[in-house]
Amino acid sequence: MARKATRSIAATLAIAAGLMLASGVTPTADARTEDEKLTFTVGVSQEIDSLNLTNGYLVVDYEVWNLQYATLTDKSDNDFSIKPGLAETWESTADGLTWTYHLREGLLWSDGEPLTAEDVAYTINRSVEEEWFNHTSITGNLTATALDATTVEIVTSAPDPRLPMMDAYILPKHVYENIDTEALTTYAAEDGVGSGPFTLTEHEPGQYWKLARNENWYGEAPAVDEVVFRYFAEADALVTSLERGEVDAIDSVPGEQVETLAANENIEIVQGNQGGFNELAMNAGDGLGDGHAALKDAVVRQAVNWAIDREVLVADVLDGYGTPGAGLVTSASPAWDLVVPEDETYSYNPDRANDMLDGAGYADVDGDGIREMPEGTNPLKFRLNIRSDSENDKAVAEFVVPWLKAIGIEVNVKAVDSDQLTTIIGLGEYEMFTWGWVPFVDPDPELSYFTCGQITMDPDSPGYNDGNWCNAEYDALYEQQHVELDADRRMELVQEMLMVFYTEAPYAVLWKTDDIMAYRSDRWEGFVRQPADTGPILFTNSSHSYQNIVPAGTSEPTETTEADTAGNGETDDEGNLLVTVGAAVLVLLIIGGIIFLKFNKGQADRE
Amino acid sequence: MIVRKIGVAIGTLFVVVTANFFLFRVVQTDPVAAVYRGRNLSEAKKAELEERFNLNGSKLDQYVGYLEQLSHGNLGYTLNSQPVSSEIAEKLPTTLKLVGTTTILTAVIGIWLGIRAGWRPRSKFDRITTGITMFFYSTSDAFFGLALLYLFASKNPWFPTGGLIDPNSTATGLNRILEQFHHLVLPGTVLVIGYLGQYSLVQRAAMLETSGEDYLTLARAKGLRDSLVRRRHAVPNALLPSITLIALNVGYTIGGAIIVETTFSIPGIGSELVRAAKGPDYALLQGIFLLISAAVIAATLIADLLYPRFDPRVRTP
Amino acid sequence: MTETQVQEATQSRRLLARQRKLRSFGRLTKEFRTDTAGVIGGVVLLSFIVIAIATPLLFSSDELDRTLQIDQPKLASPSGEHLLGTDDKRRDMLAVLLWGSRTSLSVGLAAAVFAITIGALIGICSGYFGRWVDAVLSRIEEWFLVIPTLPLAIVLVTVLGGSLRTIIIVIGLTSWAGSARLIRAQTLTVKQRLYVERSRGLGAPHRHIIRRHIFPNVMPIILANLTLTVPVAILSEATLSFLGIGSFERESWGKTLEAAHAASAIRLGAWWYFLPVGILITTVVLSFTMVGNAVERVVNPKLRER
Repeated sequence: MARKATRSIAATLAIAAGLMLASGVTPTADARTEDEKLTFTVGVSQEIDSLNLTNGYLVVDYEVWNLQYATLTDKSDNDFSIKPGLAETWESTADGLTWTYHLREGLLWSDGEPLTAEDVAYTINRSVEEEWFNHTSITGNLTATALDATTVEIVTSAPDPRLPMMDAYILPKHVYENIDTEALTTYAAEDGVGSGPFTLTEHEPGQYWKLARNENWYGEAPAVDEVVFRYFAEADALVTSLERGEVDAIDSVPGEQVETLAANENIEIVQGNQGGFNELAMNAGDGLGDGHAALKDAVVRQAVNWAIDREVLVADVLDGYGTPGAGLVTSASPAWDLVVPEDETYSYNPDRANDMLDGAGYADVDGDGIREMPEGTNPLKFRLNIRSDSENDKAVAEFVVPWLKAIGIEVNVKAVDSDQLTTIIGLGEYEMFTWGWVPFVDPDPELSYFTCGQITMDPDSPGYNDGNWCNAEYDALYEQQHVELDADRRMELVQEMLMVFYTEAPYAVLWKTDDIMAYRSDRWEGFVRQPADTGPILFTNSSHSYQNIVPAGTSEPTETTEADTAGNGETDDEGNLLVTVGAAVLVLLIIGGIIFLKFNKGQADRE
Repeated sequence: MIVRKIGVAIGTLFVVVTANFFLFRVVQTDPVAAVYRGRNLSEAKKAELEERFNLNGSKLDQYVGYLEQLSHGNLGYTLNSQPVSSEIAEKLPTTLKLVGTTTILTAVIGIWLGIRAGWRPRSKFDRITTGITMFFYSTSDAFFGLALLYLFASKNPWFPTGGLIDPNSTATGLNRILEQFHHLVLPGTVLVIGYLGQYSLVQRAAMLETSGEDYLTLARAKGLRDSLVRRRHAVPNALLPSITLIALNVGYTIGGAIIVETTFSIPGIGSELVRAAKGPDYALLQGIFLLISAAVIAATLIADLLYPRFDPRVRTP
Repeated sequence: MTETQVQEATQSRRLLARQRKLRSFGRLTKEFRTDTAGVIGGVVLLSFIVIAIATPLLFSSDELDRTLQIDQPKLASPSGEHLLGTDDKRRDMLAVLLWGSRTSLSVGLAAAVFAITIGALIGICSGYFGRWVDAVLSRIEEWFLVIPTLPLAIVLVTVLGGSLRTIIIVIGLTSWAGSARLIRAQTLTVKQRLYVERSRGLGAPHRHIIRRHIFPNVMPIILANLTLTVPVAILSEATLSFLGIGSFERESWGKTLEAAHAASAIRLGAWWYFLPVGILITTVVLSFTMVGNAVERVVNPKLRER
């Protein structure tokens, strides 16, 4: 179950490599002495689960890979369009099935070993052979051959509209050839050998990880010497550390804290979207497990969709920082989003949901407020699994339980961690769960997840289709768009697929999330949004911000932060509050003391 | 006698191990699935893993296999496919620092309070300390921690909001230790104040008991100064229960550490245990529980063995 | 005197026993009343219990349903409309706390009763039967005394599932051992008494002796231990809920603390989110402890010297 973001920060696939914007102002290096490293620290709300490309799937893992591994082609920060990466040029045969990429001359890994076409071919072929799940959505149909040191030929077994885009991470052959298939499953992947702008130097689990600038990177050297990611288990501590200047940027700001942060003139908040969304998924019952029979019926799934007030969820849970969900989102670019006709849009309408269920024969025969199956047995009691580390999931559950109660469905909530939820989904032992996806740039991978072939039929080799939903029409459309080389026609096909998904409703898509990030504008400037104007600055599909940021004022790092923050957050109001709390504690202490004095005195008197 | 005590300790540990095996084997039907989650495995590889995890054969065979693994220090694998033992080894030093420092502080302060309170029972000092320790003993550690965090980290940014060390810190040697100490002040305060009562009350009771003994009356009758009698005669004898208490309190302090590490986001064994429970990551939970139990059992054994050495009255022939 | 003797002759022995019990109960209540701290604690506790029972009359349970509060302010500070402010779910804090008190108090009481039931059963059997029964039960008891409570509780709740019932059972299971030990000691003393030995000599069945002689005599200790176990159980529930391992089903004080922590109440300065609940927990626990200490002093005069 790959690439689900456990928090609503953006995930990424591709890595930025080729592009160096002219805007990157080089800092005056002489302002710093050698041991004064320029460090950019990002506070993150998620901990690395694994840096191993064959089993990591969290947003923070992708960010490290984006920094550490270059790809054959890179993506523009404006609109994700193709840019040169490790490869400078490429061409194809007339049938579009064979592509030849020409690498830059003199490429080196960060450890000084030469980076050649051998590495590229090795990575692609091994990823296909061993089915590395982060690679196969790109490399699944590919075979690669190194023609010479800088030329690699890639052959695809079926037409692929995504080519020549090749954004699979390329791994160092000289490191990985010493790790066999078995050893790879538990390999920690902290070797730090990479080809991107920064490479890993240190990882203190549960606390932080550091990446240093890769002097062998082919692009123009970034101003930053070192990037540090520091993990915070609590959202509170994360925000406080930014205010205090202990970190330079944070990956997420809880909605209710945006206002306070925005008031701080040293802090800039960036609200960006790159397709991330959250859903209430339902088990449509076409796979393994013991899901409730009622959810096999599209009518029940639709009724659930009509019983949810998405406007309220966005307003209350996200504090308005999001958009009510309108179907599956398959691309970081909004161009691919589904447009639903107004009269077909799921709105909050419990009466309609009740009518639909009544009409389909789900009556409450025993009068306990919970509907039964049309046969009059098996009440509609659903298990809802949520992620224990997600406050939003908990909030959603608090709304969904009474909403579904109102249409005669009982929901029992259980919180588990993401790993455990993955296992539960694989076994099909659920009716509903909440989670989110952050799509890639091309819609194909996200679309493929809901084909029948992706339903888990063996829990030991799970597929992506976590709704256990199989639909022949959808699958047929998928196959068509998969090989459709005409862009407009492909867009139509994708829209049709999304509409099938919307009406069949294995998911109730709740909202499209905005990633709310914040950084110290008194210290840094030059952040790059991807896509332009609407996207986030960090945790995007490349690493442009890290390459381009410079100290504010483009010269020396500021040293004013300590003084700035000391003055912050010390209003009269808070001072009074402090006194109040102190007084309350004191009063309690005194009461406790008096009681015990008296109590002990009582004892003494009696003697 | 010593042999018997060691025997009892080993027996207790054995029960923990057995409970660990059966309790978890009941819920976790397939530990192998947790390891090869998400990957395609050949039948041969699966069989090999099952062999490694002792999943073939009867429950009894599996149990014997489990014991065998334990004896090699193998605690299984976490959901992230990392060995449980290395995961624990990573987090252990932090918790040891926290629990170690606070135990010493709590014991020293608590014993001192107890001595003073017990020497003059029902004095003002006695009533106040007893009242205050009782009050904090009745407070939820979680609430106490949150209150401190609010007052001394959020409103007045005197202390860090959490963690153990700032990763940007270039401090080395003594400075690094000082920085860690700075991070540990608030969580340490919760543990120290919250558990003072454990020592002060026991120490107070012990003082009361000894102060009634004949030899003290005799000492006083000989005209020795009060403070001298206290220091020379009463304290050494009354100290005994408190010293063994240090060992016996390890269990409580670990409990406190679980709460405090969660409240202050300190990456130690305690917060790891909570994380494992929330997962649930059974192998990790099992491993940490075993470690904590073993530590407590060992501490109890040490207390048991030391006690007669200190106190001639309970020395057995 | 003669009157009493006449009564003894005519009335059933059971009535006599009841009278004796009543008289001794009267004496104990009188003694309890001289204990100021105990009385204060008792009054505080009683008012808490009354308010908890009356909560549904004050606040409808709809107040806890966040889907019905969407027109209320989020994290509002105390005001005339919301005496203790609102939480991040826009709910009235006073309603949340009062409804939470029902869970916290009843879980505390139920778990303590469960713990003391186990403790009494094992303690009495252990003390009364002695020999191998004592040996076996004492080993079990020691095991539970040695194993650290909180980690064991966390493990058990995780394995058994986090419903309210499991939490009561787990807290009970992890806090009976201390009482069992005290009850065993008391049983041993009672067993030695002349009339018990005589009764045994006359061949009375064990059940009869335990019910007629042992149990009434260890009852005061059981009662004192019960009162002292409730606060421990309340704190345990609060701790488990705070760690997020507790029950999902209902509001409780521990859950409020956890919610405050998760909702950044500390950072946002929403003191009304965590301060009142902390004071409530402390007050109730302190009250129970004071009552418990008083009861213990009354039933166990030896303690009074301290």
